[in-house]
Amino acid sequence: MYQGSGRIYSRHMLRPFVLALVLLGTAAAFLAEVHRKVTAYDTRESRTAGAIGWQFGIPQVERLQTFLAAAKRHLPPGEGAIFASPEDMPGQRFFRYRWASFLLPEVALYPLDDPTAESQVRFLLNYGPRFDHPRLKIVRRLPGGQLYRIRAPRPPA
Amino acid sequence: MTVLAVLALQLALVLVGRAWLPLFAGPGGSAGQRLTLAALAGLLWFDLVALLTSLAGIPWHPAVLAAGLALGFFLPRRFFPRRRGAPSRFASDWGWGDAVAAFVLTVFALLALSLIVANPDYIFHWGYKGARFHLSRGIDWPFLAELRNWTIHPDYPNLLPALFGASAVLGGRFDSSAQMLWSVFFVGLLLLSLRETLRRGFASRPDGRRLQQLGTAIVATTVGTFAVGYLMAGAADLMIALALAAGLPALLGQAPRRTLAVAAAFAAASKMEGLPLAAFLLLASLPPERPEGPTGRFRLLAWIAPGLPTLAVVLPWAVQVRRWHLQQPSNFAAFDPDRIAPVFAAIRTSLSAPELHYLPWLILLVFPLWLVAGSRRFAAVATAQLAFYLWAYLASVLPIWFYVLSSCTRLFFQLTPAILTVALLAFACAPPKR
Repeated sequence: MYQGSGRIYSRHMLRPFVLALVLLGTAAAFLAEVHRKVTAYDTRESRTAGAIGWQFGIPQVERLQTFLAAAKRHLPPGEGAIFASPEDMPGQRFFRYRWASFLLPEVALYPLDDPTAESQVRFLLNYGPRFDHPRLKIVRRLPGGQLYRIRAPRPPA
Repeated sequence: MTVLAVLALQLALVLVGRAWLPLFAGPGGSAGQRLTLAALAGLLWFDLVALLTSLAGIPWHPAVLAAGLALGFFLPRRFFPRRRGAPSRFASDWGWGDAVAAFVLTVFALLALSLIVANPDYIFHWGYKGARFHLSRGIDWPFLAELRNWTIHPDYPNLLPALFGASAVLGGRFDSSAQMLWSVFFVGLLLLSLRETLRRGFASRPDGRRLQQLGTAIVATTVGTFAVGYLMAGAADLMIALALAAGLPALLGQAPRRTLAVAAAFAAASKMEGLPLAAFLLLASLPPERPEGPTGRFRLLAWIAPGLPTLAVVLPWAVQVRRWHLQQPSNFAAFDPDRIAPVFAAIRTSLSAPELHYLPWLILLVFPLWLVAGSRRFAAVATAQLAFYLWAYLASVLPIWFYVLSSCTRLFFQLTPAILTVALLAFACAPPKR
């Protein structure tokens, strides 16, 4: 004959049971995130994120790295440079510049819109299609861009 | 080689910190908590070495770094001889929950070393500064002061980039994969520290061991979800979470309150938002505990002493920030009530980020903790820190959505592991309803 408390559960078991349910939820969340990150890594070749969402190992970063490694060989030691790239998406130029700064810490890189840059450096690194400007003289074509020397401004007549 | 350098430096810092333990931890305490405090004390000593060598213009050479660490190892042995007592050992009560935590740490380590979960801020400032410190063989204040570098938070405390830079100096080159071992180190200490808090919290319950294993597994998988889902490797947010976790035993009455001195100083050395956390932890360490024994009496030094480690790491940094004019104008602004509604809307969006499976909402557990007698000291610290984050969003000139969405989850994560741990203890140890 049943002579229990009338409850269908043990009071001592309720809390561990609730905690076990919580653990199921957090463990599922953890495994889902690991799966998502590993899948994203496996499909990194086809990733089309903007520069703010770039990750190590994706083709965009590899290409920038190749460009900067080539540029480094042609920049005189101790020289800084302005880093330019197209603003093909909002914020793209800014975050490409920040990736470039990290990947090439040996060179003081300045963003294109830095008003102090021109007085500090004699070179401009352009990561993108070639552009012409009367004060820029191309020094070297690089994989993915060009290295320019900045000419001094012409004195007013 | 750089991997070995990072591992060797971590081991050296634990040994250095262990020498300082008699000053902060006293005898007793669990082996896990002592290991965490030793690591934090060693990291603080390293920060001091990094700051003072850079102030004195002494370039970081492996011999200089080794000499600095050797000084940190022998100095306390000379002035604070170790008390003889039974050495604290790891309790042999490891269980399946600890195995889950070890699994989470291993998975995080593999993903971090593969750079899959590297935080964008590692590229944008922490790692970049570390690489520069490696090249300039020290904390490069002139570099930080350059106008173009306003984007890299030049006024932030420099412990993490200094660790990156020094590891690269010791290893011979800057290797991002190897640098991720610092994040693995911090996650390991965070999980160990929280596990020990749960173990001691549940110790008096008959089913304590089962609850502890459940709690450890829940905390580990939650930390793992944040660390993997929100790409935490290489950023300093883990350090703030670790600082609060290291202070948890003292806040819950499991350990002497003077251990908060180490946790506070580590928070202050880690990141800007660690400064208010340090202040809250130091306030929570007051009044000082009365020394044991019949002659024990309060002294003025007992009130000041907990703040000295924080002062030691903050003062040289603050002097340099002022000297090089590193403060950023965007740090300060007037409180703007018009930002309240949009800030809360942005926070709500941020907390519901799909990659975190609603786990950031755990932050709200801090409020019921006010109702639990033994948790109030912790709840006060966590709520004050949360209020500071809100104030930072409301008194700012930065665009609301970008500012909140790019930082809120990380900031709230800094408090979440400790809040979850205390909530688990409160839930499982509350007296049953009649």
